[in-house]
Amino acid sequence: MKMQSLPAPQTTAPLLRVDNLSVSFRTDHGPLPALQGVSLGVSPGETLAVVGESGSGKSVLSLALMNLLPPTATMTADHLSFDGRDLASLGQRDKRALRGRDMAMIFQEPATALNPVQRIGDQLVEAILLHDDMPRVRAHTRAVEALAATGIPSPDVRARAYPHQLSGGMRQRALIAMALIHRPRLLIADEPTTALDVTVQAQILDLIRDLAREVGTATIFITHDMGVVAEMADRVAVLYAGRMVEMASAADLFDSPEHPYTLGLLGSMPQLSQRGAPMLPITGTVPDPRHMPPGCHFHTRCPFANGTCETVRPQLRRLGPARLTACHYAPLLETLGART
Amino acid sequence: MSLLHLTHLSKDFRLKGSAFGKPLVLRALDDITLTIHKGETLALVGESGCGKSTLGWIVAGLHKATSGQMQVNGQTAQTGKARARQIQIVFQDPFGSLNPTMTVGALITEPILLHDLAPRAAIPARLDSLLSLVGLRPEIGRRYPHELSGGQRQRVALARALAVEPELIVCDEAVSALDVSVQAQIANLLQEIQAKTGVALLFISHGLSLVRHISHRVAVMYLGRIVEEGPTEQVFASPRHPYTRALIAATLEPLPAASRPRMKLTGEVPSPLAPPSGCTFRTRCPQAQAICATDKPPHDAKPHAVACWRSDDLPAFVPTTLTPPARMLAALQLYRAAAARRATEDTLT
Repeated sequence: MKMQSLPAPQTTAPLLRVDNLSVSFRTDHGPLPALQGVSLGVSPGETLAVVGESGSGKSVLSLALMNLLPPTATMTADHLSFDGRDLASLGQRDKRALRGRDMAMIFQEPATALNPVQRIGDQLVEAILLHDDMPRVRAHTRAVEALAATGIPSPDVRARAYPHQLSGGMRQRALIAMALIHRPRLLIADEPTTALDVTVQAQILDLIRDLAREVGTATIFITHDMGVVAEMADRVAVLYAGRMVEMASAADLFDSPEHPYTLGLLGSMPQLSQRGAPMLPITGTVPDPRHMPPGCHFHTRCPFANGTCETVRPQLRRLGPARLTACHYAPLLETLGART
Repeated sequence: MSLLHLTHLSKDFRLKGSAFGKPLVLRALDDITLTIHKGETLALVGESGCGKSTLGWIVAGLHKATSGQMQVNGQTAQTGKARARQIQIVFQDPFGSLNPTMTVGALITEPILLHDLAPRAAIPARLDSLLSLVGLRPEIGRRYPHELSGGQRQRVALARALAVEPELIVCDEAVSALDVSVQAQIANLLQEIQAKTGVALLFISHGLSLVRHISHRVAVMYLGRIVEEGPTEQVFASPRHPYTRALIAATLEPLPAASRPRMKLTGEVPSPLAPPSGCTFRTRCPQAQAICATDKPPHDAKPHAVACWRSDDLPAFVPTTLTPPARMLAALQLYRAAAARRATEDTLT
């Protein structure tokens, strides 16, 4: 399915590119680093999955890229461009013009992302008129078409409904209709299916994939579910405690996962455990960002960690043409296999 | 040996209708017959709104059934405190179920005092053994729920449930809100505790892969009815109901090349206020025929039971084949060995 049609990663010019992105939050207890030195790019038609658990910084990354960080956040980057335009040099007005039209986002919680006191159709009409000048009646027709495109049954009726009158799956589809209404060139989807039932999830993933295929939308898909990654991603970036620890094509990542954290995420999947045997979870929890352990941030939970890992932070190293891993042991099998 | 036996259990919720019409009745559970054996894990799966949580709540004594019988150890189920002594429940969101003003120690020992299960002098020792049973360090007992991570809070909720040494714990989506690695930790812990204490689990979940991994038997629910029930491996290897097949087909596997049957459900679960006639699944069923619209399919009385008119005429089921690449397997093998070595050095979180 996904495997045959993998584009050669990073050969086409990326639509969005960010180098050395860092974000920290001001708190009463001093600055709280949320993201440190993350670099990535995504090309038209490509789906980049950003994987990590709570506290990995994956949602902060999506907010930073959308320029939606709260005022308490400080963001620095060596380079941040969309379609060759430097986003840092754009004024608020230009950024707003991009956001919603060329760059759109689907949030995890459709219940909080929709206005509870406005009809679904009116919210879509508002999103249309924000960027396109047309009569309201025509905008409404387009809104109903957009809802129909997401597979919502009787879209003209649903357009008159308020968010609370729709099921979770339908609300999420309404939100997707809104994000896709201007056929964005970049779509950031932050765990769009986490709260949904598997059957609805399958429908929504199909919908997002079709758009990437038909419109050539570049997609950044944020998730903690390796099943969703396998289903959707062309390339994968694994985040841990605010840093990128692995980046690879989906084919390479699943063929030979390199970073122990990636292995831990895979080992936590029941399908990859032996039946009857316990699963292989990562022990412990993500460290507090205010008290990051020295050396490799993952060493407190890594079964391979040694003295070096406790003191020296591993840098991202190139393992192949499009493969990066931040682990002293990489390549894992060769290093450890040689030892035993 | 059967621990819990439900016979023809139904649950109606009366909703406020219009001022003049008769009140709306929502049938949340329709004619449920189900057995849980001592020491086993029975999983209840199905989409949101199928009634699986309502069933769990009735078992735990938090809802009353409208009709039907419930037996525990061969006798009509008791209510109130006596039921709580036998059956405990752990919820999805431990933050909402743990009193924020009580320490972890007080939360865990409260049920022991309430049921008068140990003299006061023995409480500290009991607390330590419960904390260690759920993999928590003794000093956690002095903390408050807000100081803990989600996984730790769920361990506390579990320790609190275990405090009365119940025969059955209802786990109502108890791991669904946790990160994947923490989900696996808690699922492992549940299996460990079951091996140590022999407690039975009613594991309510919408995550099929986890259910397949940890349950002995599974019951699939759709719109308040059990549509298929049987030994977990049999149900997953040869599902007899089209709905079970659709659920399995929609489950994502953590491998890009996994070949999986492309059977997709369309539409949404119908409103339980106006369920379809006959088989309630027929509106979304690719196999539906005329009889499905007129008559409710009965349950056959096999160990692997199904309620479907068409179950004998379904096309052959093609199970998902999952063959992880050699290098991934080797790396997971190394990880497993290293983690096992570490685990012997340090067992507590």
